Amino acid sequence: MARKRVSAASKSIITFLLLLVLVFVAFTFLHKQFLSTRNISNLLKHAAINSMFALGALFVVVVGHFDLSFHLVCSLAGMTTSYLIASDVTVIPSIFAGLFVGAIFGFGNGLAVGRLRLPDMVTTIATGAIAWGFAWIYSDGAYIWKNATTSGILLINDALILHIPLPVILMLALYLLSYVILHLSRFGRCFYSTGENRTAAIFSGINVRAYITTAFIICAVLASLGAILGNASQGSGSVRVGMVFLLPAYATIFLGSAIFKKPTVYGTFLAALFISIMLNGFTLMAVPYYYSDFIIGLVLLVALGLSSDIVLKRRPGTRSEVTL
Amino acid sequence: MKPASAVLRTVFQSRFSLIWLLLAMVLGFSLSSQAFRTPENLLEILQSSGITAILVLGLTWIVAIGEMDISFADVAALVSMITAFLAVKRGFPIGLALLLAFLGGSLIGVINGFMTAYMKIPSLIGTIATGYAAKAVAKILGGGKPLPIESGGSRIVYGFVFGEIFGIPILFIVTLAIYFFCRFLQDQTVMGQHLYALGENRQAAREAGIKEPRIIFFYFILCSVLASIAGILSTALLGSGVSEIGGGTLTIQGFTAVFLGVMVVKAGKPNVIGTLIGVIMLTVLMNWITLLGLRTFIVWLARGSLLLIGVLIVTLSSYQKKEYRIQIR
Repeated sequence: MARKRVSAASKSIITFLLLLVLVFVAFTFLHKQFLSTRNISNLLKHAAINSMFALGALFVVVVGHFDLSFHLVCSLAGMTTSYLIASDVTVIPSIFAGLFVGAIFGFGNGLAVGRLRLPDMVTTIATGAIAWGFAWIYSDGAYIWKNATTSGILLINDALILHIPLPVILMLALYLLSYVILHLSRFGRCFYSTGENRTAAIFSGINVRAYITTAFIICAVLASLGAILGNASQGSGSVRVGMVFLLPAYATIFLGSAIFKKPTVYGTFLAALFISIMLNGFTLMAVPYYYSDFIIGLVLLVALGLSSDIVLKRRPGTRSEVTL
Repeated sequence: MKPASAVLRTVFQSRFSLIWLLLAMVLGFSLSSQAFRTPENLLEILQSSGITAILVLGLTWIVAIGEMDISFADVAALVSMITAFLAVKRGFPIGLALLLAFLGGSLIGVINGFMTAYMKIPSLIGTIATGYAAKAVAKILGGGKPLPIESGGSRIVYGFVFGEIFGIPILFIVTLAIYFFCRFLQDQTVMGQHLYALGENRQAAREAGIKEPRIIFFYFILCSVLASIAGILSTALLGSGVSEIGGGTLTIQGFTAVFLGVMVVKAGKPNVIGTLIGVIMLTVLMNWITLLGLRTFIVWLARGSLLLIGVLIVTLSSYQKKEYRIQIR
């Protein structure tokens, strides 16, 4: 039995790797710059940012909720960091201040959804709008690039450790940590059981509210980190930095779930690579961004179609409601 | 004949409080702002709230069932761009362009409904995907830019959008008529009963023999059809096809209107009259804020806080009553 399960998972991984190689080879033939060191490094940096958003949202999906605010909350975090750097604060405190602002909004979402039991989507749409409003305070929506080149904030995107870009190392470390938490530890079991059967989780003594709140905080903080990295790669703080990451994040998670039968860290990682390769390839071939929006939308639809019976059993009305 | 005190008590019930708030707002803004009380401005409020009201009518019922539709604003944008693209770039007669655009928008509804009702995909994620795809197609058609329609627009649509009877826009009168017809559908027919039965207890409704998938399918199509009509109207109003109607604020405005409306008439349930009041209230408020010339962040804070307040009131009131809980996850 155990062996069978292992072989099924490895089959999924092999399928996925084949898919990755297929896309990779296709783009190598389509554009000769694709395999250049510079492009691969760009691709990996983009994958690092993209997969950070997806990893955060994964936690929220695992506890059975959705967050529609992280792409706006992270804009506020990014702007906070850029603003602090522009007003001559050193880099590390600025980054932590940004992450802290993100965490506050994540905590707010978690309280609203976990404790007050507000409907998650509408609530996060509202908190997203509030965060987006705050993001405009600093500069009325203008880019902030003062001190960007002199303060060293760009290093978190450009630095190389053993010839590997820092964002990539950050991504690998965060994914490894999340893998250990979600798949090897007791906490991971609690996250999954909160999402799969909340009633059973409550009766097993799991502090469901705490896990939901934690998931929302993780989501907001990782998205904020993604936004700070994104701002560093652009060289300026922008209020729109996170806007493009909402759809790819969910496409990534559901693509991963479609192949591995449930939302997992490794599935998300491979799917994030897949989507980044596609986006990078299209950018390289000078396809306007709205075409890739369309293609990612289609990928998400196909992934949903493939994973519909398996991952998405938790439908409203079929889930029993227990008053906390 | 009821005694006067009983009439007063009915009129000042908490479920009508939003209507009084709206009246107070209009009165207060008119007294305080000269720009607000000009006839042109009030006319503009009625016009634009008419279009928004048609756009979110279907959404009201989707939320009442306990589902979600994020794509409605993008459907309107898609319809707007298809109309402009066919009429301007391909030289189609405007009537045919409108018809094809309308069908294109409705197709999104068919996809949404099929995914939600028959494939059991959560409507939120499904409609995020179709909404993004629709918006992307709209941008592809216009090459990322708006497409102006200079001439040869449809007389009927223009007359409909800009016409007036006794100083009141025809558009607004028709919107009112549609809303009162839908109120009748919602409160007096079996269709409406099924709608709220599904929203209240999906399992019980299913076991009572309500054809759940068929009804959900129908409402998703209805939502996109109404959004398509709104898309056509706003194309006429703006005189061009735009891929982001209202600068991407329509999604949040729509949900805010629906959730403010939950407080009106049928306490705790999304309903069409409440949505209409919510839409007018939002339009009045946003118009006033724009006239004041406040900074963008205040506008967004107002939008977000209003929606949050709406959701809070709905959820907290359903704690006490236990009779209805909006089941959108």
